Amino acid sequence: MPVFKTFFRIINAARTPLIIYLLIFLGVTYMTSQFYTSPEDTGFTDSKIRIAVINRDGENNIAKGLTEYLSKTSTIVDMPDDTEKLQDALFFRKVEYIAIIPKGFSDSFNKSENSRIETVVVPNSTSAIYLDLIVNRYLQTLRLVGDYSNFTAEKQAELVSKNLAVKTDIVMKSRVESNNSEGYTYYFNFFPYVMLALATLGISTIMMVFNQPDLKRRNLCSPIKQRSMNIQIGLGSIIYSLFCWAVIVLFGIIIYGESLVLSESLPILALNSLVFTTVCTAIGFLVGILIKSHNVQAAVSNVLSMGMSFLCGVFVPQSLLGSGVLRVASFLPAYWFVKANNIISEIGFDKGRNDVLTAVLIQLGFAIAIFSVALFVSKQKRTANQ
Amino acid sequence: MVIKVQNLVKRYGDLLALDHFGLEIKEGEVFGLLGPNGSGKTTAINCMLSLLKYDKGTIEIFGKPMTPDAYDTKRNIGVVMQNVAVFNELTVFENIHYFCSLYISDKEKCNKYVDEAIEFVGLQDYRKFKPKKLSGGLLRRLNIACGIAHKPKLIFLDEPTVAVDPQSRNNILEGILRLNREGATIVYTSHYMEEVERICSRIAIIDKGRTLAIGTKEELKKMIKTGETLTIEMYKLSDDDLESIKSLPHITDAAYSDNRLIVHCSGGKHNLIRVLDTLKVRDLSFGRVYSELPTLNDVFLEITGKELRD
Repeated sequence: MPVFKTFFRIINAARTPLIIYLLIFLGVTYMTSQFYTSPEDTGFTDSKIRIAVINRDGENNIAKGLTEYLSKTSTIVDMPDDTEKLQDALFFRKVEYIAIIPKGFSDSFNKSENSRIETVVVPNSTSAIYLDLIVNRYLQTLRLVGDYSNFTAEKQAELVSKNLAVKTDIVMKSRVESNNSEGYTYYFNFFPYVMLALATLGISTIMMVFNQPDLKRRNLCSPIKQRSMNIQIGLGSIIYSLFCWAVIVLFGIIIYGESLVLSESLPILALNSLVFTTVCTAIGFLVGILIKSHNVQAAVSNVLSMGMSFLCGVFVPQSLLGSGVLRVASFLPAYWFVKANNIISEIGFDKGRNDVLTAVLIQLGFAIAIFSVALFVSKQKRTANQ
Repeated sequence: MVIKVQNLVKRYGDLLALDHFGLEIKEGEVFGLLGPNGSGKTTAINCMLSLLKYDKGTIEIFGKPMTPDAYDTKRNIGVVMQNVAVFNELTVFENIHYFCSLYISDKEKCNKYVDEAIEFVGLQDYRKFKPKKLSGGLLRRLNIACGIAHKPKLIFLDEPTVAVDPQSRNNILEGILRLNREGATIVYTSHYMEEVERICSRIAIIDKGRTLAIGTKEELKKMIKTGETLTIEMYKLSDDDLESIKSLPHITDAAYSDNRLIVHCSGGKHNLIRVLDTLKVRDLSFGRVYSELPTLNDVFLEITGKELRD
């Protein structure tokens, strides 16, 4: 197997840049996966707006109840009833909304007269609209209770307060059954970026050497069959890719330790990445046949790994990508890799078995198609050279 | 017959690279393909090695048709390409070992052959050097070692001395003769007539893809009318004296300039004696005398009407 041995001698000669690439990619992948695991992503809290409430109507149940209600939905900042200071507070955004309960408001409200809470707001502020809704909700509920009961004003305020305290449960539907707070999910989602770059750089480096016209012609003069030569190069490429795959998976195991080793997802995540490795090998093989210079090689490697990663949801989650982008991405193998990973991490392999296996098979299809194209192009080039 | 090529035609689009090219090479020969750049030497060799498809004709090597999958035949062929074809990533030893192991599967035998090839080309001190660190001459020697390490019976050497310094060229030519003495049949292409004249036992002159003449160098020189050229150093020569020399038999031309009389002969014997006798009779003294036989360039010039290096 002279060609096979030479394959690894050449890899060995080019080991320094490849190791540097590997370390940089692994470092970037690790840091980015850590960045994604923010606990804030897993819950929901109302945002609270800083407001000021100026009560000019004295101590009464309506003003008291409204102020109490607003204090639950917003952060109330104490402010004196001074027009200039209130305007300054608004200008410097110490508050975003000022509610002024005018004198005689309670009386006119109880008499069902046209009564309004005065507001001073930051122009075109969405917070103001939100606060208006809250104030109106309180007053309308109070009106409703007043119109349909004979309770005292105090009792009415208590009922309204109780009624409005009922909260709607917020459920993060896309994460309801998810365990993707684990960093390794993001780590595996970054696999295409690292593997594509390593495969295209490593395999195409070897292919470019063997495809140098003079060396190729010299090899064709030898008694080694072209098929045997291709098989030996192919075998070398597979072993090289497997080595890269093993290093990346092992690195993940070292970093995430028990949480990954004990995870039920590990075997299927590893399988998915292994299948994607075959796609990367085929791409590296094709790139090696098509390109001739090292400058083009670096450019192609970057365009493939970065481009596919951006389009297919490696860098940006697929859920944030537009439908048009996803439609285009579905013609790329990395999309199916990330999709399978997402299903595994969100609902688990057992529940998403069919979808995961479909995505894995589609990746295999890509690998076979790209490899077939590579062989076809190789044969065409050989024929053209004759 | 080691190689038999008949009526070989190869076209590159409208360009006719080989025009019914033919030759026969016997075992043990050092056969030279002599022609200017673009005459079809490399194309002919590439066709013989099945690296190129040809439009017409037949090629037999060791009595068998040469095809891309004639692997048994290829096993006995060594090739030294015009361009150096080695791996820049491998050392001298690894390069020779790679090419040798394409032919020799026995590991021990292969290592022995590699050592012998390294010694043969004199690269013992450079075994662990990578090609980029070798000079042009050493690189050519490595290229040769890669082509001959497996001890082939037939070796194609396609202009192996291009861009090589005179000392390295001399080493390479000596090496080729040694390979031939050890039993290999050599096919050697070059546009350097001195090299071909020095090492080749038979020569084919080719131009525009055609074989114009084949034979030993003596046979080729006999094919042309041009004979020897005489150069005689002398201080003075009158027009009368010059005319008398021109009138001698077999003298095609004579000229005197820079104290040198140059006489071109068209064959025949004893031309030099006749010219010197004429000078003595006319009481003309002369210094050094040179006689040059026709070169392959003269042969090429007469056959094609142009210089070999045009």
